[in-house]
Amino acid sequence: MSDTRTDTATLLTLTFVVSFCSFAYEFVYSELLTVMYGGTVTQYVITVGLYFFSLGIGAALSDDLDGANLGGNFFRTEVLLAAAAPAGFLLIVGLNSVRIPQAVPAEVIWTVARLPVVVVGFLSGFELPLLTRMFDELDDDESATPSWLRTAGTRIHDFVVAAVGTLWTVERTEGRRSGLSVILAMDYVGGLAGAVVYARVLYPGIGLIPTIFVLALLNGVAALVFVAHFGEWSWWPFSGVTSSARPTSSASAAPGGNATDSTRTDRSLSAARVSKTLLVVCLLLTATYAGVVAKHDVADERLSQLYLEQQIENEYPPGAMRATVTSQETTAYQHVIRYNRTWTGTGPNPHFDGRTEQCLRLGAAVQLCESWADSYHEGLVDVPMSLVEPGPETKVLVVGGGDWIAINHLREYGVTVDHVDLDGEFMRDAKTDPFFRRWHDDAYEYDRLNTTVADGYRYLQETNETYDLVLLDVPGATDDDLLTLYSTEFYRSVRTHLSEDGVAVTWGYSPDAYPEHHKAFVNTVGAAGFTQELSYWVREDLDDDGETERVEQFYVLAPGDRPRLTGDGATRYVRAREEHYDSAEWHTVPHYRGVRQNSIFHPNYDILVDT
Amino acid sequence: MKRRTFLQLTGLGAAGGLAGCLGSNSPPPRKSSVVSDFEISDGSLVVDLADQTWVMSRYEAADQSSLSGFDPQSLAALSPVGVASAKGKSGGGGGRGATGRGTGGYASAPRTVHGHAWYHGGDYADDWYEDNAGKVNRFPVGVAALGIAYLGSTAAMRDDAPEAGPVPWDREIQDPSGTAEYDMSDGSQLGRDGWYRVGAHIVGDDVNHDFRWECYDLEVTDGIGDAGYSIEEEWKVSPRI
Repeated sequence: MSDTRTDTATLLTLTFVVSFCSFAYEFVYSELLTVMYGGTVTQYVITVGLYFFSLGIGAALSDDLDGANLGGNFFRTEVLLAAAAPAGFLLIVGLNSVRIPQAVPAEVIWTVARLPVVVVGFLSGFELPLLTRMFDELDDDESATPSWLRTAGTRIHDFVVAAVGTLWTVERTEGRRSGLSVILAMDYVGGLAGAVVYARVLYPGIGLIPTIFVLALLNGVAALVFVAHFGEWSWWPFSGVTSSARPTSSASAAPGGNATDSTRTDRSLSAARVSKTLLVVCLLLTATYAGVVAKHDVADERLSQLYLEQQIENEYPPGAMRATVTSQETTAYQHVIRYNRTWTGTGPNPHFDGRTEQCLRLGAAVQLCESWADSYHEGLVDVPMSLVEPGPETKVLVVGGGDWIAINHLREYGVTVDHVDLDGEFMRDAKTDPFFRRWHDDAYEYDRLNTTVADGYRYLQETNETYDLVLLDVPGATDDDLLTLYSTEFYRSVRTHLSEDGVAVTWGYSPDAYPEHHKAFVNTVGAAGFTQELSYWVREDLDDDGETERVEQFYVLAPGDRPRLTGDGATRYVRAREEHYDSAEWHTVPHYRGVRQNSIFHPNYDILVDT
Repeated sequence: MKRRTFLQLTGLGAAGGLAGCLGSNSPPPRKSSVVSDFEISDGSLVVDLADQTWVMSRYEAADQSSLSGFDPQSLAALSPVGVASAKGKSGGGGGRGATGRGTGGYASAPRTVHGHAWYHGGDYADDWYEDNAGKVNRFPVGVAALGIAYLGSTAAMRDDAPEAGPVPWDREIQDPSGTAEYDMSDGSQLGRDGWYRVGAHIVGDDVNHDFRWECYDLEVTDGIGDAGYSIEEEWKVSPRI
């Protein structure tokens, strides 16, 4: 194989690798910004838009890069990408971890969080023009392309031209293809590979944090391969610049492609001229990333733990609470985080009795803390059970509630329960987990329980059952994936599966803290046919100071008039707190002007909350 | 295309695109007239309710006939005491969002009709109300309850001011009318330097609707010499409309 052919193959391989990385960076940033700020569609669309914009700027400005030092500039670009991409990742994580003064405008934070996308896009914009120009210098004749690639390319080309010729007038181009077409083709192949490998291997296999280091490692390796292939090194330490002496063919070489020694030297300088300092930086970065990737489990756990702990602590006044993540697990549907929160503030702890308690989150949304696990489920189950008869004739549907605790409360009333939850893995683990067993008391063995592992919306589409009580024990509206459970279509399905006197119950966000969510939610359930609502707070003396505090707000929704909570059917729980629940009244579901309902096919993203 | 032209065009495109991304879509705080004045007199905080109390809202009254059955007392009984926690508030976290109230900007802040600094108010709010005039109504309201709570020292409030809405009240007055007084020396929390929140639970006069709470954050200092307590800053903190 000729040197030129090897050079060509190397450049094409490098094109594949760098485009693989560039596309995958875009997806990593999109996903990271989604995790941090919510709104999958918004984050992906803006990231892709900014990325392509920056790519265009980089490509346009690449003309200004020194044509006599293409290789050096390519090497710099790869080293900078290898450094900037993980740094940008950590910057976004840091922005969401540190306590930023409230005086800093949200627009500034928004802009800074998108800077890594712009930087990586800009640098990636240099890559293709540089590679194209280098390829054009190398690829003087057809023979420079590896024969297998030439043969395969010719066949594919013949086929495509024939196919295109059925609709268009075509003229088969023979002979040498331009550097742009070859590099661009390889770029798209690399992009596709990057997308597929990221989606099917990297993200699900090792997670977001190790993925960014794998990609940066590839960039570093690409830079080193480039220099190793196109450079010959003078290891003399005082030489600031090294130059390649490797002969390559040249666009300005003698006719016929036979370059003279002098022109070869000139060309080799343009192919790889890099400083030793940058080379050392590249080696260090590559070695570091290799170490991180080799220990990706540890790196992933430690970094995400730091981030999560800081996130939790930021929800309290500075220095008031310390969070310690004790375990993390990822199922097919959710990230399950167990942590201890410890009161470190001055004065008595207003949040719970004692100094430390254990809590559980699914993603960013808190699901359970020891201090209010009981009272939350009493509010979800024991209060609305006042509106239906106990006994096996009463049919209850629980959507969500994979921790089985709501089922344990329902068991007390002897009702028949259909239970549907998406995450079978979480449900299975919760059965035997001591943390959950304290509250569910093996309720999964309840003989009037029928559990289905399925999506709640799809279940309601398929079942013909009607229910006297539907309990929505679902996660918060923090993610696009959950938009369906907050849609008109879902609530309409719930309503149509209610019995004549049936009601649906869900917990709700504060209208003051999340006004846009609240209005969108109210209009959504109203559009679904619910006309009456009754809201109540469940209260508990969380901090053992002799006074009760609010724990959670719930909404009972009905398509018509229903009795009060404190009527004849009041449960023992409600009777014991009659004064409190007697004041809860049914009201007409309000409607707010200018607020769109959330529909599956026409989402209103205002219904998502930014936790 | 010349490079300069190219850069100008792309710059304009980028600015336009980013402006679209950055622009806040959140509606402004609702306008209201509930408390006309705060004053400290003889060690007491005096709250003067406005002569005409009203609130702007996007609420659309569906059933005007239900007005007669409304009982403000029933809502007053629901007035919260304690801290919100559990799922909706990240386990008792408490919200952030009172940017700048404790860090200056008071003198130049936009004002309400009663002269209070209007948190999150300003030109954009006026623009929003102009653009959405057809979606907003002014509802006469009654004040079902007043609450007062000590929020914390000025330093503590700087980065941890609560969102709009009720907080655990140190004291409450049901069915206030005209003027209400809180004795600053009466109570374990009251009578300290720092920030206080005064909340008014408002309910519709003509519509059966709970408009929840309008709040005011006051910075109170001990004054100079025998001057006693004085109010340095008064911010109106309303939920977004």
